[in-house]
Amino acid sequence: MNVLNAIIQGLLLGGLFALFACGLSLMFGVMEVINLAHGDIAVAAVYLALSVMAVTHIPGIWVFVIVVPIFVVGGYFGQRLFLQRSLDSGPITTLLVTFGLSVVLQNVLLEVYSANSQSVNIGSLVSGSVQISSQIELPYLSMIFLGTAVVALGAVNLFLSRTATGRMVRAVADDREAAQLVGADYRHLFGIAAALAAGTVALAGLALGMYTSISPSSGPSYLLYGFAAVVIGGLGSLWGTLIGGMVLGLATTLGSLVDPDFGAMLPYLVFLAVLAVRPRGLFPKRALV
Amino acid sequence: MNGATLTLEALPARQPAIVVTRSRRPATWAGALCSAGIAVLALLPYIASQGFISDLVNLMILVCVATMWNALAGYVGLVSVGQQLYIGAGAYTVLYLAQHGWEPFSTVPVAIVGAAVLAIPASFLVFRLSGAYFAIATWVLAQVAALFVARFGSLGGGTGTAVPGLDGFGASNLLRDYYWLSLGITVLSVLGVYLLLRSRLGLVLTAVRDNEVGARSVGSRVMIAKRVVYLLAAAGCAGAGCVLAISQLEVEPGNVFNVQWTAYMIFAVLIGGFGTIEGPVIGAVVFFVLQQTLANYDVWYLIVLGSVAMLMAIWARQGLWGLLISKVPVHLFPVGYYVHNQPGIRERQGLSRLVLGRVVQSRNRGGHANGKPGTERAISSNHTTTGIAGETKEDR
Amino acid sequence: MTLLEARGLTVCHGQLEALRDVSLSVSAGEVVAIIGANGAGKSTLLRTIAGLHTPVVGSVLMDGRDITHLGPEKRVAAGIVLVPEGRRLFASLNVEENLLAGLYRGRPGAWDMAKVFELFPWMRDRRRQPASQLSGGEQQAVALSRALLANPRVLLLDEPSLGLSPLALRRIYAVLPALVSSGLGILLVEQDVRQALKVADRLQCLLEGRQTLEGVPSELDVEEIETAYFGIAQTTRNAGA
Repeated sequence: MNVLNAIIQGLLLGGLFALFACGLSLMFGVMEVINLAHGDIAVAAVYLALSVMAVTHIPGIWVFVIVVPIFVVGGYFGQRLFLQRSLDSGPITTLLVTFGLSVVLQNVLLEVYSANSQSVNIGSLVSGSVQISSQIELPYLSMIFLGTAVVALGAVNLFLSRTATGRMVRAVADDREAAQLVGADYRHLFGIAAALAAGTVALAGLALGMYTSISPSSGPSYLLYGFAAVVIGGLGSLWGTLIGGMVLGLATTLGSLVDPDFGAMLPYLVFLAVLAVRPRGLFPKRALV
Repeated sequence: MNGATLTLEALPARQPAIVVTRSRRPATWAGALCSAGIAVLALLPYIASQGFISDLVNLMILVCVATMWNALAGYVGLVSVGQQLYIGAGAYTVLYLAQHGWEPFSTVPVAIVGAAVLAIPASFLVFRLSGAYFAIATWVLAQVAALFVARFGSLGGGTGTAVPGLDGFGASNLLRDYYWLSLGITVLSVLGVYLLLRSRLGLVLTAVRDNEVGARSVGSRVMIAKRVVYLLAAAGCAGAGCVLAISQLEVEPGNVFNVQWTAYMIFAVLIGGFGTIEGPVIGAVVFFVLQQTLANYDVWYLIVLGSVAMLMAIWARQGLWGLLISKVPVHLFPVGYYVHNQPGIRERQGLSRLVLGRVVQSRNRGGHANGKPGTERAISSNHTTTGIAGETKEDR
Repeated sequence: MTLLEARGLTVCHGQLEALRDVSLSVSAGEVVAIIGANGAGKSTLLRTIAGLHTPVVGSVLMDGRDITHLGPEKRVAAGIVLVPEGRRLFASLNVEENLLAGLYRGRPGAWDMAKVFELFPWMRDRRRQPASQLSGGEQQAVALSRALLANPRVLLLDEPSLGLSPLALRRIYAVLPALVSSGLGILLVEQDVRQALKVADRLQCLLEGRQTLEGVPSELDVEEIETAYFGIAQTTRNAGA
């Protein structure tokens, strides 16, 4: 009974992890960069949402309409103006710079918002669920999150496969030089990828902020979970990332049946096991979609 | 590159013999100065205030871990974001043994060796990875260790517990003792890295830093070199962890396994200078000074240092030390080879590869017998212009 | 009329000098072939003209305009398109998507998808096939089409014969005359000297980054070419160690 519930919860949670991981997967596939500040961007989105709500009194469930576009634009310019320079210096530099960014971001949030845990209040929608049977219930919120994750991932997928720019993003991920030779400005395309990454992770962060409470230092755990989802699912494949997210979600909920601390540890153990045995993941293919 | 050859036997007899030494005069001075400095530091507890001594302990922990991180990242190219695993391992070994009746200071050698032993299987896991995978894997290992340790109530669980056996000392005696401990560990760490780099293994490492594929192709034992450095870094960080445990009188997973330590290491090294021995020391000092100066402003020091470190990573990777010695070419910790009386040899990047294969080290008996020390040129493997661990700026 | 000109190009890869003082020109409607042994610098030359390398000395001009410091993406707009060595198709894209990539920032002109399918009818039926599943010759056809869809005025072809069966090679080369007659200039790098001699209006030979021969194929004899190619009679080698 609990196991079945845990499985369903795990799958729903997986959608959220996948949304976190989507941006990581995209950035790695396109630019070969792991943004160590990825999780902190999600946390920053929540805090920005709180400030926006405090100022404009928009209900929590709609605040993403303002916040996500801000991050999309911010992601594009952050990439072109800042991250691109460290990319030109090399992969180690980029690791170090994004790590530094993560620390700085966490501490700026700490200074501005204090260390208290906060969450986004969305009123009565938090509770409430559908009762499938006497044992199984599907919380509204979790289903909305999974739905959002699937829609968002699907939208990104559509963009990459159906639009000219999306096609070129995939092309530049395959072969940057060849893309230049057909006239593509790879810096612009990198910016697009970063914008998508920032947008999806902001959305994921907001969802998380509604589901649970976050604090300025919550970022790194989400980065690790996101990265784990990418690795487990197979690098660069968006749908693989969804599977990877679900594996992690299951590990979290099933592990929590043993005890809550184990629930926190099991996803990492699964990740390490995958690294040890199949570092290329469950569905390794170098293509993005 | 075609022109330089160092097969000394091939030169005609009337040319002055090539002299290759390990260091020049400034280094001997530096060596003497360092020894004197260490002696002064050792005597400080008798003259300086307790607050100052306590600060120095924290500074030395920083120097130690920064040096260890730099050995991994700057010389082997392994960017670890999880050295706190070994800091915690050291601290918890001290705690565990102290709880079982050991005198706390006597646990330190065991903790250090234990961490090195722990690093062996860890290295087999993480060495299969590179780049971001390696970095995050090290981070995850540290997280898992923290979560694992927190399950044991006897070790204090998630909130930590005090280290037994420290109350009998008396506050000032204890301070003096762990001050000397930290001094000893830090000196040993820096010395260890220095000696390692001077050795043949060190030559392999510098070659790896410049160009790993090239180093392998010359037959260098790259894997062994990497593993030795990884173990050394684990040992050094564990030593720092031991000092932490004793100086803070308690061990808490949220503290010793905190990724904050990595932030300290990285920022210190980026500011001081990547890939040199002097760099992390300088960087740690700058870091520490800023930390103390901005102590009243919460975490602004981290924001400032982090931002500076990021900018330096992009634009000034040689760090403060690198900037300094580009004006005044001095190596306090010489690990390269200096060729005297051979004006044709210019400082080359990656020349350490040539040296690795072919140089015949000879000492000219009785000083510079051929008179003119001024024409000496440095084949310095302290620096390359390729930047960090073999990556090059694209010339497109 | 001269479309493309390269003057005194010297290009270095790090400390290695790949090209030294190389000059050439390509006019509308002509095929210029560059031959030379491996490592002679042929690919470097094409890549420099395409903008992937910046010369330390020398300049590249298109229609008399100096484009030496123009990035590779902008050169497509200027009318210079490179079909790189090894085809370099986008592996995760299918045939059609690869072709569409050529249109992405291409210039307006005669080439469009319909014309490409006319030239290579098999592509129409197999346009949804992943590019990675094509044979060498088919990939070369797609790579060539992708370049043509950008409507270049000068087409750079880097070793089209590499990895191709003789039949596929013949098919690719059979296409060239029609391209040239429409006013396109072609700069061709080829290891297969015979093939190069057959299609080229003018020939140049590179050896260790330097030009050793230049001329019209009909006026050159085999011995001259051999000497220039292999450099046996060269006296300008560096003194070794």
